[in-house]
Amino acid sequence: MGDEVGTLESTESVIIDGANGVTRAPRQHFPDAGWSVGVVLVTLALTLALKSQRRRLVPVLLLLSAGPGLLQVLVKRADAPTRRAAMAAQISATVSELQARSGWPLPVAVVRDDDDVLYPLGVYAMPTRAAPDAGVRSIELRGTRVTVTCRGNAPIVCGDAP
Amino acid sequence: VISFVGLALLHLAGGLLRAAATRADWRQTLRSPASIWFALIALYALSLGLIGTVLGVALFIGLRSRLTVRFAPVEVAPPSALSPGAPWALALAVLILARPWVPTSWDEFVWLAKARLESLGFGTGARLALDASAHLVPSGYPPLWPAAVGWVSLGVDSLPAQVSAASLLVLMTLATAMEAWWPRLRSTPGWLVIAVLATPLFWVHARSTYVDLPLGLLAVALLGHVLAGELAAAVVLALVLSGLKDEGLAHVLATVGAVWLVSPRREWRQLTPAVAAVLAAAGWRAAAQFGGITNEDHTLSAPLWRWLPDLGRLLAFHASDLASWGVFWAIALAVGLRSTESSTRALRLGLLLNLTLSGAALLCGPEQVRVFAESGTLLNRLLMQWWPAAAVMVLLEGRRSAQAAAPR
Repeated sequence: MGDEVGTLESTESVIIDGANGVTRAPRQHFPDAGWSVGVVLVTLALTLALKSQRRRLVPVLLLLSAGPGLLQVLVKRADAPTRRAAMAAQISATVSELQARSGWPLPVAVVRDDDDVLYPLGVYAMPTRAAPDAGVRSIELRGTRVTVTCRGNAPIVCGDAP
Repeated sequence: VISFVGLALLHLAGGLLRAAATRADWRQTLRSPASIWFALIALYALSLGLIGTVLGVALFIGLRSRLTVRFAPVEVAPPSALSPGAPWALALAVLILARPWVPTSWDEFVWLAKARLESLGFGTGARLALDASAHLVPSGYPPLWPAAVGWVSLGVDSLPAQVSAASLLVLMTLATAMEAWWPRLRSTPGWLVIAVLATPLFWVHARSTYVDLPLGLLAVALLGHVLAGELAAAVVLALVLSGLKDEGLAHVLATVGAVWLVSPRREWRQLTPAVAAVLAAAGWRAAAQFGGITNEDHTLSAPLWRWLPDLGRLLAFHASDLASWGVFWAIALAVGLRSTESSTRALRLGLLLNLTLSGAALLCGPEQVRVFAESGTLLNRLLMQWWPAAAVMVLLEGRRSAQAAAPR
């Protein structure tokens, strides 16, 4: 999806993994696990060793260690405050397209779904699904990009061309 | 605007209902953030049809007659005590609400999709959740969170209204947790609160409509109410937790069990919230099975013990995910190991029980939940559910240390 290693830079990566971690580290099976576990163990030992009067060091540790993650949240991710409006506009346009073409709450059947980034948007646009049947509008959700248009009628194809 | 109006109306109804059910002063209940959950649980009961309505009325009568629960008076911070923290609380609220009113992550769309069902009529969400032909995704989940979003947005089928309603509910869970712990945390140093709130993944979830953080916040609020003896609010919060997600029941059992085990005077009445939550969850499961609905993510079978080391490794890696948590979990673990204060002991035991229950669910669950854990889409969210209890534990210990270090 064009992301630099670890950072959730694209709209697609935020839709899929945005809430699973601040970066893609969980999805990438923690490439820096040795370093991070080491830092955590040192912090654990240090905090256990601190005398009561020195525990004011704890908030300093918390703040310092939160810095890189907050940089991701506030600046680098596609849903960072400065970039979120653009992402929202992109999502709104696709959701509106899917809603307009699906015609929900009229019965609609999803006959193909690539189970990728369009999947959750499709669930929002069509919360209930009908069984494919004659006379029921049918729709296909294809591809891995969030910005899509729909075409055709039977079925309606949204996303990449077949 | 619609969602703010909806929230105000529900809070007003909840405050009055709570006053009627518990014979508390309505001026106090209207000032308590926890009151909104009384209205939401009443609406949830009504949305479940005749059986739900009968059970809701029974709950009201049970609370009013004090047959099963004994409760302390509603304790609400006086305005004079709140004023020093008010600007900070307002800033926190603005930061949480100041987001584009569009979902941006996977489950937000899924939760809000079910919220749309309330635009088709009151109770449609619950009705279709029990109707296999509706093909809701995911199936079998209790419908309270999306239904509540639909009610707060007054059934308006609009994305901005639904996102703002869900964000307001997230904020109410935070306010409910803060209220429950205010008596014990009021003299906590502000810099410590800021340091704990700096946890990066907290901000991702606080500014989303995911239900993991709300679940954790309501669980820690439940613990605060049980410790304070305010069992009416505890019963209602336990019912809400069981209606939000299946993990909610684990939170209730762990929380109530922990308080009961650390309590010097164990009373059976303290278990009332857990009994209520078990009955509610079992009732929902039975209704779903009757309708031919299965929750494929949460079916249980014999434990896969050989996956236990993998679970331990994955949990260690997720808790050490520095970008998401910083060193929060290392410090929480240190605090948990050292502290002997009674509230901290209850929080620690609650976390341990919750870890045990969740671990058991993963070992006994279907293969797909272990695949979710391996692919990184599960454990950070479980940690987010446990974060509020761990955060309160760190804050309590920090407050104690600050008091110990203060010149006499």
